[in-house]
Amino acid sequence: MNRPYLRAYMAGVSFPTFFLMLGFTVFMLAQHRYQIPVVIERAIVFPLAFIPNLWGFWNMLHLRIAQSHMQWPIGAHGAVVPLILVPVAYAVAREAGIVYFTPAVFAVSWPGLIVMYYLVWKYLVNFLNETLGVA
Amino acid sequence: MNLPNELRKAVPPLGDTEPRQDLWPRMLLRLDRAPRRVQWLDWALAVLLLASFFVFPQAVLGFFYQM
Repeated sequence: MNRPYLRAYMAGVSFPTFFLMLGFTVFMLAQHRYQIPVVIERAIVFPLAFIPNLWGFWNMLHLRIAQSHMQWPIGAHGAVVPLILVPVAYAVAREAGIVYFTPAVFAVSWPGLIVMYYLVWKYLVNFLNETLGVA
Repeated sequence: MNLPNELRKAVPPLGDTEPRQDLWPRMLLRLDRAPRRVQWLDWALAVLLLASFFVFPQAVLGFFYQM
């Protein structure tokens, strides 16, 4: 099969695109049931537009690294993403005026996010890569 | 100038775009492989992650914002 980078991109975007459904539900509940001050149309843009693409390109980067015969585990590769993501997410939230997302919220969610990214990349993204022949 | 004709001239036809072999049996083989075993440390991390949602509920939305 050819076009390995396209397949790596598709494998990368699959999980965050699927997870968005759950995220959207959580934001809906937070806003309408628990009256948490998160404006959903502002909050959903970042996970909707930026994160799936980041995952796709990040998986393409992992394929590039693997093709250069470097030993770089995919779990560790995924765990690096929050180091880039959290400052960007904070800046976007601040510009969008989402007051709920204070630096404390990001600081508390950061370790959990690293763990989650590690696990998801190690098992789910790796499974998708194997299925699409780019592992 | 006829734009459709000019475009056809500029972009040559793709020719045979079908794959050389049926890819579905290979996909089935990949899907039938034995599933990867989850290591105990990873289970522990997953449990810790879930527990952290109860300890720091304010982080849940921040978490979903970045997934």
